[in-house]
Amino acid sequence: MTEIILQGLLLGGLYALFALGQSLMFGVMRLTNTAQGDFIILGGFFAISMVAATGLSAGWGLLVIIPIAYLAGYALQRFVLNGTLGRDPLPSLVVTFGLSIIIQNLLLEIYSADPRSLEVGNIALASFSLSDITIGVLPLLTFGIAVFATICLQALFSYTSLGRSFRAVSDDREAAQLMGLKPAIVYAQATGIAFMLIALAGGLQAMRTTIAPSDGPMLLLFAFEAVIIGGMGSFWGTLVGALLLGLTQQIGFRLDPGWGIWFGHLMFLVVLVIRPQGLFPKTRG
Amino acid sequence: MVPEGRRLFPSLTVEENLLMGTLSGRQGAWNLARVFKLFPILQEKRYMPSTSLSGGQQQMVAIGRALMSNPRLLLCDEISLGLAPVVIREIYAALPSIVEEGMSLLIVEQDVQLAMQVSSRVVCLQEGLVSLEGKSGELTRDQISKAYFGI
Amino acid sequence: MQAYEVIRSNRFSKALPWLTLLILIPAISLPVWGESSWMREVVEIACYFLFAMMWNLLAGYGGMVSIGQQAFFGFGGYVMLILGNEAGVNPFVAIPIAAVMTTLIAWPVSVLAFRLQGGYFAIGSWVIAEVFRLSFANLHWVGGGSGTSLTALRDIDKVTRESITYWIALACVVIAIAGIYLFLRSKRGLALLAIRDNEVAAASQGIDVQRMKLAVYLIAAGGAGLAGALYFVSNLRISPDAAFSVNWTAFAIFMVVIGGLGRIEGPIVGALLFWFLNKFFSDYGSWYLIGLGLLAIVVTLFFRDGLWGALHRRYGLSLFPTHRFLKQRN
Repeated sequence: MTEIILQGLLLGGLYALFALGQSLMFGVMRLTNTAQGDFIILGGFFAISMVAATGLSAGWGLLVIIPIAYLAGYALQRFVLNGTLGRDPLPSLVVTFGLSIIIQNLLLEIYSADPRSLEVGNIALASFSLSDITIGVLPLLTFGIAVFATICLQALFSYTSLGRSFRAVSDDREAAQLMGLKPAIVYAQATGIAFMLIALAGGLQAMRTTIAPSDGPMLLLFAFEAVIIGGMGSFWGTLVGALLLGLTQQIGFRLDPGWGIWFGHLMFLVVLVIRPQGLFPKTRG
Repeated sequence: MVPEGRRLFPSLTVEENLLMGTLSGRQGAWNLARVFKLFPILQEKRYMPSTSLSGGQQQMVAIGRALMSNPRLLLCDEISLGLAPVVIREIYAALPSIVEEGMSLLIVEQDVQLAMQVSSRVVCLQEGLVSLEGKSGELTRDQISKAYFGI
Repeated sequence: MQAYEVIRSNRFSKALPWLTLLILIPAISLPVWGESSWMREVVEIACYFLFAMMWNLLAGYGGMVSIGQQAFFGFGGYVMLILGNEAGVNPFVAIPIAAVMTTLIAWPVSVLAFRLQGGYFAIGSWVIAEVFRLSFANLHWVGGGSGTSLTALRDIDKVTRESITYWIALACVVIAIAGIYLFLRSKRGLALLAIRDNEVAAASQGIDVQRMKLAVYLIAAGGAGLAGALYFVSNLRISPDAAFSVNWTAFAIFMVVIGGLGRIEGPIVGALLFWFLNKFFSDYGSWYLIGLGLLAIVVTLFFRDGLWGALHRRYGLSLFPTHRFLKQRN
C-alpha cells in the first residue's frame, strides 16, 4: 500500500510539471492553452532529436533546451497569442487548439506515429530500497524538480519585481500600463517561463516512458485537472492537485489497468461537485 | 497619475503597490520613507493587501504610488470620490507638502469649494470647453455658479 | 416626434424563400436521380453541419465555448445503436428518441459543467467527454474499445435504407436551420442575444440568465445527439474512439469560426467550405490538417467575424437576419 502511495506521489510530481506552466499562463493572462500537452510532447521530441544530433547526454541536452524554450514561448506569446487576449475566451481557445492540431500533425509527419523515448542510460532503471519499498531514482528526481520549480515560481511571484509585474498586469492591465509596464512584454515573459517548464516536463516524460505525437491531449487533461483540483491562483495548490491526481490514478491502475485514468477523471469531477474552487484557492483582495 | 477610483492592485500589498510607482526609474525627492512620513498609517499597514484598507487609506496609497514615480506634474482624478468628509480633509491637508518642492498638482474635483481652497488657479470645464478660469482667491462662488448653471 | 417602425429584413433576405425552393426541389428528389455515394456524402456533411450548428448555438449565442460536445454526439450514436440492436426499436425511429435521451443526460452533466467558466469550462467539457468515452469503451456488451455494428437494419435493402437516411438527414437540417432562425427572431431569442452581450444588464431586465443558459445547453446537447444518431445510422459501425473523438468538435470549431460565429449563415458557409476542402485535399493527410489549423488561426487573428462576418460587414449581406433596425416612417 505504501508503495502505491509513494509511486502515486512521485507520478504526481511529473504531473505538477505539466500543470505549473498552465497555472502560470492562466494566472497572469487568463489564457487557456489547449495546446499545453502538445507543446510538452513537442519539447520531448525536440530533446530526443537534439540529443541524437549533438551527442550530448540527456541531462545536458535538457539544460540547453530550456533557454531555447524560453525564447520560443516569448515569441509565441508576443507575436501570436497576444492578439487573442481579451474578454472573449474563444480566440485564444481556437488559436491554441489550431496550434495543437498543427503540432500533432507536424510531429506525425516528421517522426511518424512510432513512440520514442529519450535515452538516459542507467538512471532510467536505477532505484534504491527504503526498508522494503523500492523507489526509482528518476521519479524521485522528477519529484524533486517539481517541488523545486514550485518553490521557485512562488518565490518569483512573491518577492521579485517581475513577479510584481505579473500580479499587477493580471489584476488591472490598464493601471499597470499607467505605471509604465508594457503588458505585451510582461505576458511574453510569463509564457517564456511557462515554456521552460513545458520543455523540462517534456524531456522528463520522454525519459520516463515513450512519447508519441498524439499524446498531447491526454497530458493537457492531466495538467488541467491538477490545476482545478488544487485550486486556481496558487502554485502550491497546483502541486498538491497534481500529487492527488497521481495518487488517484495509481490506485486506479492497481485496481484494474483499464481504470487508472478514469479514476483520475472521476476524482476531478467529484472535486468539481463538492468544492469547485479547488482545495487551496487563492482569493483576490 | 492618481486614477479615478484609485485602481490599486488587489494582489499586491501596500508597500508593493507603492513600489510599482518606481517603474519609471526617475530619481527625485520621493521614496518609500518619505511617503510613509507623509501618510504614517501606511507604514503601519505596509504588508497588508492593499484593498483591505479603508477607502481613505487606499486613496493615500494611490497618491503615494503616483508620488513614487517622482513626477514633475501630479494628476489627481477625483480623489475625494466615495470618501467621508473627515477623510477628505485629511487627504487634502497633505497636499501642500507635496507642492512645496516644486511639483505641480493638477486636481480634477467636483467639490468646488475644496478645489478653490487648495489650489492657486481654477479652470472650469463644460463639455470640453473652458467656461471660466482665474486665480482661486479672486473668483467668487457666483461667478462659478454662473459658469456652470448660467444662473 | 417621428414615427419609427422596426424592420428586420433586407433585400438579400427577401430572396430567401426563392433560394430555399431552388435548393430544396432538387435536394428532395435526389434519391431518384442521384448516385448512392452522393446521398451518403450529403448525409455525412449534414451530420457535420448539424453538429457545427449546435456548437454555434452554444458558443456563439450561449457564450459557452465547449471542446466536449462530442460527448453528446457519441452518446446519441450509442443510444440509437442500443435501442436498435438490443431493444428492437427501428433505428430510424430511434434517432429522435436518442436525441431526447441525450437532452436528458445533458441535465446532470450541466450541473458539473456549469461549475466552470470560460476557458476552463471548455477543457472541463473535454474531460467529461473523455469520461463518456472511457465509460463506453469499458462496456463489453456494446463492443468495448473496438466498437460494434448496427445490425438492426440488416433486413432493409441498401437503396431504401440510404434513401430514408438521406431524407431524415435533409429534414433534420431544414428543421435545425428553421428552428434556430425562428427561435432567434422570437422574444426568447432576443433575450439570448442580450445575455450574450452583457449578462448583468440582461439579468437586470428580468431575464432568467441561468435558465436560458441551461436551455441552450440542453438544446445544443440534444442536437448533437441527433447528429450522432443520424451519423451512425448511415455509418453502420460505431466505436468509442470514432464516436467521442475530439475531432468532431475540432471540425465544428473550424466550420463555425471560419464561416462566422454567431450567425446562422456562418456554419452553412463553413460547412460548404469544409466539404470542399475535404473533397480535394484530404488525401494529403497530415498536411491537410495542418493547413486547416493554420487557416483557423489566421482567420481568428485577422478576421474575427469569419468569412460571412466579413461579407456582412462589407456588403450588409444577411440571408437570415435576426437584427432589428429602426426605420423612420415617412
